[in-house]
This record gives sequence, structure tokens and C-alpha cells, in this order.
Amino acid sequence: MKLLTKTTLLSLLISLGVFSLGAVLFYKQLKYIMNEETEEMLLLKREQIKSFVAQHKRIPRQEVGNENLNVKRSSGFKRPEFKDTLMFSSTEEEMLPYHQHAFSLKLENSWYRIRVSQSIFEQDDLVETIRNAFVAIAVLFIVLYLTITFLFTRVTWKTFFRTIRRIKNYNAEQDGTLHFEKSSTKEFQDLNLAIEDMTGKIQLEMKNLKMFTENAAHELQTPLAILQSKTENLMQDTSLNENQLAQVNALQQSLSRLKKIVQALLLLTKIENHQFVSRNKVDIRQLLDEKLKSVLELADMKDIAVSSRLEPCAVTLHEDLAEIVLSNLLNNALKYTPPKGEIEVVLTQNQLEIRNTGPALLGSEKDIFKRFHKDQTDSDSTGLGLSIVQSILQEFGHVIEYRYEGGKHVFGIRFK
Amino acid sequence: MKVLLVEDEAELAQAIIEFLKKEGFVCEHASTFLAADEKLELYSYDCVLLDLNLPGGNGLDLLRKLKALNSRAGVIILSAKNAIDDKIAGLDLGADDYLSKPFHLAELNARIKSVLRRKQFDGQQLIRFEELTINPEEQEVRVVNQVLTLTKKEYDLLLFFLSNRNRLLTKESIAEHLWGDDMDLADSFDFIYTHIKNMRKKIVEAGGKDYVKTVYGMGYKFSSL
Repeated sequence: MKLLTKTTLLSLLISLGVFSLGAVLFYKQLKYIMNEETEEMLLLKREQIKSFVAQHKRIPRQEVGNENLNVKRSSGFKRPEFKDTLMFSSTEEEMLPYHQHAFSLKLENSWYRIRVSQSIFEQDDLVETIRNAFVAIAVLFIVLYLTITFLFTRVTWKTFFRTIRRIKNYNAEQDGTLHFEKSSTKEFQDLNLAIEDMTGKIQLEMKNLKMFTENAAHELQTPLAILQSKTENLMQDTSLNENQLAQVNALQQSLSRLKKIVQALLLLTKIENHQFVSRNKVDIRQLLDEKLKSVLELADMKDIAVSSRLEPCAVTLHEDLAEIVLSNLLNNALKYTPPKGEIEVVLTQNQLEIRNTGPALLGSEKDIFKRFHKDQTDSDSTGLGLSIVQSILQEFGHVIEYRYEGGKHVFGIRFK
Repeated sequence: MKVLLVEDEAELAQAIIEFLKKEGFVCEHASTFLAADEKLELYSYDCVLLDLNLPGGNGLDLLRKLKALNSRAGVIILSAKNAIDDKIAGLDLGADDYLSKPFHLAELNARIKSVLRRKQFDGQQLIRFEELTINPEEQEVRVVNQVLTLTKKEYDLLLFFLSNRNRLLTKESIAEHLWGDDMDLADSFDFIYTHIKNMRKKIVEAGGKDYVKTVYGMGYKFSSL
């Protein structure tokens, strides 16, 4: 539920609660007071009648049309009582509510029951009116209060919502440090400053990481370059005997392997440090088309049949990384398909599948994307190819899966 | 041909210079920005090998200076970073090629020769070796007078051999030259062997001799018999 809705509902509930309670109490109080007053008047009348009877030694006459006084003979003393009753009013010509007091009076050995009444319908009307006014005021107050609070809150929280939107859209590689306008609300100002601070730190981190990978690259590749050049020169020495030459060859092979691993690790680091930003959509079909040309040439030599079905497909990726993904997967297919085998490439708008015939894996399927995992010891393989492929795809939100089905290795990519 | 090597790593520089001398280049070396700056000011070179990570300054500034001096030298940038930004910046500023470390000396050799051909002779120069004549501009190969039909890979291979004649070339360096980043593909299956075999066959069938020597377990050498 939105913050604004929550606070509005709360205000509404409290207002309603307070006003309802107030209204009820007020109403009850009012009625009580009115009632008290009526009863006092009735008691006063009683005293008046009692004095009259004492003075004049007779019952006061019931005037015609005066329903307020009612005298009847009774059998004996009964306790005095108050009650509400409906009586016909001659003035209003309808049945109206009256408050009535009945008491017993003795006159010359006869008991009389005297009832005095006071109309209360004017009171009732008054209370009605007061009550309605009260409700109207309450409703007006609630509506005004809520509207004003709602509008005011929306204005005050605008800064906050803007901040949220900027955080949501924040892209660390492109946006740099975030800067906000000053806010008059202290808490929002604090929030904005904290975020400025945080994004500043993120930028610094990224710069450091970038520098680190660049320095690592330089530091690693310089000795490798030296090794490569010296080994190559050494190889040219014609005075070396066969044994020495073989040693130099072994050096060269290991060096090649090392170079590949360093290259792969540097690439992985860069990917995982988000140093590759997608600029536009990459035309996978076109890339695949080109790659397949070299693949076909090489597959031919190994007597492997290659079939492909390509539909248009453009996805969010980095051009160079897309090439790496396709190269890796196709290279693997070529490498691990035995002669006279088959490679199938199927590309749809949001899916790519590369299938190749071959013997099942020796190890578990779930290890296949792990770093340095090689199904069989193979000094030519770094074990990093598929990790790189997975890292690249994950970075851009795509998913790659592997399964072995019908005698074929199947790598499937689902593009976001 | 005079080459200036601008490189601060002493060991690496020494290896490259040794190699360049063997190939018949006159080679000079500068290991700092200032030294390189001075040399470029005073002398002219046919080719400049430029490392971007120099103490005392950025290699790209040297490149700018070369362009400002209207130098006709071919420039090949050598960089360990393999950073795309550097590559684009360098080529934009007018560098002729870009090689990222570590590279094979054979590859460097081929690139230098290619740049020189383009720069010095506008690609007009013919490459001759024994009975073979290559016209790089037309990408045409003749054995004496007969034109050979070679595939692109076979042509590239021949050119690579010729640029590196009398040098032992490993399968790796050949693979990297022919397939670049896809070299992984090639060196596992003796695809190279097949390409070389086909190339040799075509030359021999046209009346040429087979100058490719297989050095078992190591690689190949292209040299006169």
C-alpha cells in the first residue's frame, strides 16, 4: 500500500473515531441535561399542585385541552414514577412524545393518582438539529482536513519520490555520482546526501577496480610477453640439439596455455566488474552467419555435418562479448564432436540452441559451467570457456542451460 | 629499414631488438617518453613500434607528434592493456596497426612488413622468393608465370611464411595469425596441417618447389632448399 494511502486512511479512521465518539457522548450528555431539566419542571409542577391542594382543599380542575394535567382516583398509595409517553397534542393535533410524572395524593381519605406531563418534542427537535449540525461539521472537517493533508503530504514527499525514481534508474557505469537539489525537509536532505555519498563511493570503487584489472593485465602480460619473445628467439637457435629443442617446445606449449588462462581470467574479471556496457542491440543472426562460415570450413576437414536454421534475432549484449560467446560455443561443438558427427544450430527471435553429437559427459552436468572445470583432462583447454560464456550472458540477463538429450550435447540460450 | 622501438621493459625490448636485427632491420630503442620524443624529433624512421605505457608520458602523445611532423613512418602500437578505448584512440590518431601483448614475434614481423609495404611503396612492391612472386595489392601469387588459385587462408599462410622466412614458426603463431581470437579452434586439430598441406600441394603442382619444412613437434619453417 502506498505511504500516502496509509497515512490518509489512518487520519480518516482516527477522525471518524474521534468524531463518532464525540458525537455519541455529546448527544447523550445533551439528552441527559434536557431530561434533567424536564424532570425538574415536572417536580416543580408537583409541588405547585400539592400546595394548591393543601391551600384550596380540592383537586385542581383539569382544563379542557390541557393534557398536561391528569387526575384519577386510585386505590391507594403508589410510588411516584417518571416515564416517557406518547399523547395526543391538541395544539399540534398529533401524537407527540411527553415526559410524565405520576404521583399519589391523599385528599380527605381519598387517594388520587396525579399525572403531570411536559412535552419534549421541541427538545427532541432541538437535539435533532444539533446532532445534524454536528455531523455536518464533522464531515466537512474530515473532508477538508484529509484533502489538505493529502495535497500537502504529496508536495512535501515529492522530493522523496523523485529520489526513489533516480535510485531506481541509476546505472553505475553511465551516471556517475548522483547529485540532488537541496530539500527543505531535513530527513530527505539527509537521505539525498547519503545517496550522493554512496554513489560517489561506488564510482570510486569502480574506478579502482578498473585500474586494478588494467594494472593486473599489464603486470601479467609483460612477463608473458618477455617469455614469449625470448622463447621464440631461443627456438631459432640452430645450435640446439634435438633434446634442447624439445624442451623449448615444451616451454612454448606451457606458455601458450598460461597466456590463454590469463586472458580468460582478465576477461572474467572485467565482466564481473561490469566493465562492459551494452551500447546497442547485437544482431546475433549476422554474427552467427559469419562465424558459421569458418566453422563450416573446419567442420568439413573433420567430416562433421553442420546444419543451421537462423531467424532474425537482436538482443542486448556487447558486440565483442557476443562474439566470444558464439566462438566459445561453436569451438566447443567442433572440438567435442567426433568425426562423422553432426552440429545443429537453431536461432529464433529469443532463443539459440547449439547441438552436437558426441559421447555423454563423464562428470556431472551441473559442473559444466564451473570455472576450471574440464570434463576430461585436456591440456589444451583452460576450463574457463563456458564460465566466461555464462558470466557474459548472466551480466545481460540472459540464461544458458545444458542438457544431454538423444545422444547430443545441447546448449540452449534464452535471451531476455 | 630503420625501426624505432619505444618500450620501457628492458628484457622485452632486448628480445625484440635481437629479433629485428636478425630480420635485417636497423633498430633503435627508446625506453622513456622523453628519449622517444627526442629521437623522433631528430631522426626519421620507416617504422615505429610504440608501447603506450611509458614512464613520463602517454604513447599516444608521441603518435600525435609523429603526425604533426608529417612523418611517413608506419606506426604499430604495442599495448598490454588490450583496452578497446586505447585501440580505437590509437587507430583514430592514425596508427597503422595495433598488437596486444603478449604477441608472437613472428606476428610482429608480419605486421611490420605489411605496414612497410603499404607505407613505403603504397603496396606496389612485389614480394619475390625463388620462383614465387606475390603481388600483395592484387593478392595474386605466381609460380614463375603461372597464377595460383589459393584460398584466403592459404594466401595469408604463404604471406606469413614469406614474411618470416627461415624462422621456425610454431603452430600457435600460425593459428593466431590465421584465425586471430578464434585460434583455439584451429590448433587442436591440425587444421593448420591441412591448410599447409593444401598450400604446398598447389605450389608444387604449379611447378614450384616445396619450401615448407616440418619441424616435428614444434612447427614449420619456410626456407630455401
